[in-house]
Amino acid sequence: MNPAPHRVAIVGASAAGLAVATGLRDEGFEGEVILVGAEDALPYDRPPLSKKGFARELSAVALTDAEEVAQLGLELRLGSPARALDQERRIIHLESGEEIPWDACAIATGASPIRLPGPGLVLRSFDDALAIDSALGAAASVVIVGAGVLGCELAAVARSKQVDTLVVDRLSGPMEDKLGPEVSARLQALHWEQGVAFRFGLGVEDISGSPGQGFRAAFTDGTAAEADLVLVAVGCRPAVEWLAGSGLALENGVLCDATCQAAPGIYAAGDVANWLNPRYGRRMRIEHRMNATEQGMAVAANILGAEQPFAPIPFFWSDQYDTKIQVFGVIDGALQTDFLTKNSDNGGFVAAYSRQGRVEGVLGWNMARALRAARDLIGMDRAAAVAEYAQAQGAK
Amino acid sequence: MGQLKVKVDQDKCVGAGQCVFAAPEVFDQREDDGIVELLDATPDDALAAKVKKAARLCPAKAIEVEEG
Repeated sequence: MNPAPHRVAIVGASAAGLAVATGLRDEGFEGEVILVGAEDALPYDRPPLSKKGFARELSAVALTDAEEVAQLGLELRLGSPARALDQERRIIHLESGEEIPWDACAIATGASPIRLPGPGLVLRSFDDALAIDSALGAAASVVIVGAGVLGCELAAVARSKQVDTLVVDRLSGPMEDKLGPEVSARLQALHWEQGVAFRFGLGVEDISGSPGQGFRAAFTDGTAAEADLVLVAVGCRPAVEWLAGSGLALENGVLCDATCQAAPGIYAAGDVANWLNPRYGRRMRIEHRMNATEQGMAVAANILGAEQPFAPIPFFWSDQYDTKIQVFGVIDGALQTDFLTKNSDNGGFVAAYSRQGRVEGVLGWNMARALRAARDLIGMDRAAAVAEYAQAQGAK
Repeated sequence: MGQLKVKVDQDKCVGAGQCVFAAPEVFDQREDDGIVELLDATPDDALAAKVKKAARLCPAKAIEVEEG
């Protein structure tokens, strides 16, 4: 067990970092808490940036305020990215030159969007959202590269502004790698109804152009599309560059044990953490909002000596037009999919995703309340789960 | 300890249902869209820990808890 800390440094001032800080205070920690953030702003929420149009005021997405920061007794170092972590001297070096000593440290630096060469815009920060909002407002057409969850949400936002929208992806359907072919086809139909055009099975070779002059995206099959704007939503990479040379194992994020500990006294939470989820018996790195909070709270408890494995049922959601997709557990397009129930009024359904005969995740399509009960199926034998769910529905 | 006061913001709510897992005595979800419904705005002190956990877990920060 690590000695009880007096001074905790948290690197990353977004949802996960803030959850560590509040978690420490909730657990009664009275020592120093230093929260280091690369952005100037107080912690803010990212999911609303791509949903229901864009938030134009930072206050609308704030996760905390000056009053709460004072109450929590947090020392802030905002606008001041971390440059390095020294395990031996137990110091975080900031770009500003400042050294932050610690006896426990939480790494919560999140993930950075993968960019493509050229002028395509990415969305991660509030400033990115403002830039995209303003560009979409002036655009008649947009090409969105990537039909993952973010690309699909951006398409919905673009259509809400009556912008002609083309989405391209290397896969053969929207979010297909996650949803599988049937649910992906359903999602594609939803976007078609709203006027989105798709091109699948091709990548982007080159993006060129400039604002006002128009942009051009050249595809791997030799074709091209012109638009007033190109958005790039091809995923993220864990933000670990600053940890090169720290001696920590970096492998698809910061490699941690089941308690989210990377090395004695050093923990990771949120998008950046690659930990062993004992519930599933395998490593995971989860870029979902819910995980940032839950893992941050777990890390806070473990910094203070709880030594509890972090074994969540992951959760994510996506809002596209008036459709709400929610997932408990883990889904993957390659898993066996069972449709458990359908709602004839709104076309909603619940589906279970099973690996080797065991339910790993459940998905609700406009079925938020019903999905809660389906969460209990996770971990069950597939056939038993399908039968039990049918019985429970019949008993209603 | 004073009376607990709970407020929910249905516009912020994303219908994740985490509050219902944490404190089913105090929170429920609307059938059609899963948006939060407050069952008890002034819950008993015995529920304080559960209600605070619900507020912490909420991925939309849509729950406010005050101890009056």
